[in-house]
This record gives sequence, structure tokens and C-alpha cells, in this order.
Amino acid sequence: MTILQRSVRARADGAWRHAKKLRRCELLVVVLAGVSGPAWADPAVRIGSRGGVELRGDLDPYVGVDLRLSFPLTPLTINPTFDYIFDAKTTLYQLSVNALYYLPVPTRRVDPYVGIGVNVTSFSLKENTPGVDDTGNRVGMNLAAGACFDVPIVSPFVQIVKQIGEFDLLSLGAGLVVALDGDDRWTGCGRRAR
Amino acid sequence: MRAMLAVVLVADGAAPARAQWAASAYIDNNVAGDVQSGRVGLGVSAGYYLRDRIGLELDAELHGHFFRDADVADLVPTEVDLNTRAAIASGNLVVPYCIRGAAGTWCPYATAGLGVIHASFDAAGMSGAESFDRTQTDLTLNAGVGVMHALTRWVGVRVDARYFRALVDESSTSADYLTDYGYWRVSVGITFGGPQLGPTSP
Repeated sequence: MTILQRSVRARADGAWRHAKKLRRCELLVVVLAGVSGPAWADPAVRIGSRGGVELRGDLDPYVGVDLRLSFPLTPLTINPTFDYIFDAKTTLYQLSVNALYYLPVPTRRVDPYVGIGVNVTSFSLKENTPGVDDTGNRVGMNLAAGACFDVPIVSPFVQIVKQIGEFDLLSLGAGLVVALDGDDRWTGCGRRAR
Repeated sequence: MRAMLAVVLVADGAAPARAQWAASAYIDNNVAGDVQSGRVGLGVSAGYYLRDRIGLELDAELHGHFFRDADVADLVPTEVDLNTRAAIASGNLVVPYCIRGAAGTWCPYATAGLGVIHASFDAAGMSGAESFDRTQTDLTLNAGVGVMHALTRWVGVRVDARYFRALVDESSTSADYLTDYGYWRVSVGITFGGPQLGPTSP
């Protein structure tokens, strides 16, 4: 084989290897595009703390955390919350997931909303009481109404929640949420920006 | 390599429209009827939908404190608290109708199916008597309505209300709850895939 032939063959081998690398890159891009779609990166996340009182009975206070997830494909905001209720006779925890709908009213900086959801209340009586369940979980429904104030950095909100179920509590509360993204498609409250 | 690329491209492009798998996980409450309300049930379902028009779904649920205490109290001595649970399995036809618009994708549906309720009665550790541990399995019909709503391209929320009717063999010598019973179950859950996957508005 002459030097010229060797040179041509080496160049052909190099070109073939380069083409193979390109195909691998193409395949990788296609696979990544198929797997990662933009949807997973899209939710707007607001997180914060909240507190308030239960208006029925002894005005028991509660504190908790509040998460608000907003998605581009829906006008609903999904709102999981977790609360601890300070009750003298019972240890009470409550986990709720509500769907909030921001009302289409032309107010600046104020986002009123209504919501509906489900709650699970976990309870444990501090004193043993014969004839009743000492511990357990009860499931119920939430009806919520509130307003969130779209101000920079943190967004305060107030809301009232009526529970329907074995624990038919009525709570009045307030809290603060902070945006974990700088996405200007959403207000500080998690509503779609107008 | 070309063949692999072609497979990936076909798999990538063909998924959304024609036939779709769906899986859901939910929490439920029996809200009315002949069983205890307010207690937590947890379930999962897996479905296969053809052309967004009809689906076959398998559903399984576990429910604690299933029967009302008063309805089963006579099975054990007065001072004993009888625990009841139920495992419910059913196969259902689901007929969705998806609406896609500015408010997102909503897929209301009707469903009906057939299954079983496996109920257990347990009063372990009864004082002064043998422990009580019995079960019964009853054929069950169910029908209801619900809605699926897309949050992202793959994930949605689902709300479902259906009526269950258990047909109990009243001549059975092994059963403890010897009459037909029915109840409404409301569930809320998260769903992956399903008819909501169709083309969506931007």
C-alpha cells in the first residue's frame, strides 16, 4: 500500500468514526428530548408558612406549612398543606390538598380565590376515654375562600376554610408564601400573570 | 444504529393519540350508604384507553373500618370492639369525553364495572372468648362518574364518585353480614397518562 493510499484510508476511517460519533449524539438528543419534555420543569412553586385559629369551640390555634403549585395547562393551583392544631385534649395533625381557583377579577395586587379539596385528620386523645376511638384518621372535605396579596419577595394571604366531615372545623388563618422561581408567567401568589 | 434511531423516533412520536395507558392513585371516603363514612380508603387503578373513547380499568382499594360498628355489634360480646376492613377489586369500563380549551383539558367520564368486596371482621384478643377472625367475599357491581384534569402533559388530577352494590349470599353459613349493601364512594387522586394526554391548547 502506498503512502497516498494509507493517507486516504486513514482519512476515510476518521470520517467514518466522526460520523458514528455524530449519530450517537443525534440519538442522545432524541432520547433526551423524548424523556425530558418541558412539562416537568414548568410548575411554579410557592412555599410558605401559615397559622390561624379554629373558630368552633375553644378557638384552638394552628400552625402549618403551605405549598402552592401552579401549572401552565390548568387554571387551578394545587395547594397541599400540613397543620398542627394546638388542642388541650387531643393531638391533632391535618394534611390537606386543595385545588384553588383564582377568580378573574380586575384587581391589581390582590388575587382572590376559592378552593375545594380533601383533608385527612390524624388524632390521638391525650387521655384514654372508654367507648370511643383513642386514635385514628378521618377523611373530610375542604371548602376554602381567601385572598393573596401579590407584593415583592413574599406574598401574604388570608383565608377561611370550612371542613365537612367528622371534624367539621371552621378555620380562619393567614400566611406568607415565597416564590421559588423567577418565572414572570406567574404572580407571587402563583396566579397566571395578566 | 439507524434501526435504533428509527425505533426511538417512532416511540417518541407515536405515544400521545391512539391508545394510552393510565395509572391512578387515590384517597377515598365512603360518603353515604350502608357502610361507615369518614374513614380513609386508599386505592390504585391501571387502565388502557383506546382513541380517547373507551377504556378498561382495573381498580384495587383497601378501606379501614368498613362497616358501621352498630351494624356488626351483635357478632361479638358487648364489650368487644370489632374491627372491620375491606379490600375491593373491580374491572371497569370507562367512557371519557375530553374537552380541550382555554381552561385546560377536562375529561369527564362515566364508568361501570364488576368486582368483589373482601370484608374481614377481626376482634383479636377478645377477653373470655376465642379470638374472632372471619371474612366474606361478595360479588359487587359499581357505576359512577368522574373527571380527569391535566396539570402537565403527563400528570393530572382525578375526582370520582361511584355507587357500589354488594350482592351477599344470604344463605351462606360462612358470611357475617347477611344482607345486600350499597354505598357511595368519592375519591380524589393523581393520575398519570390516560385520555388527558391528547393534544392540548397552549
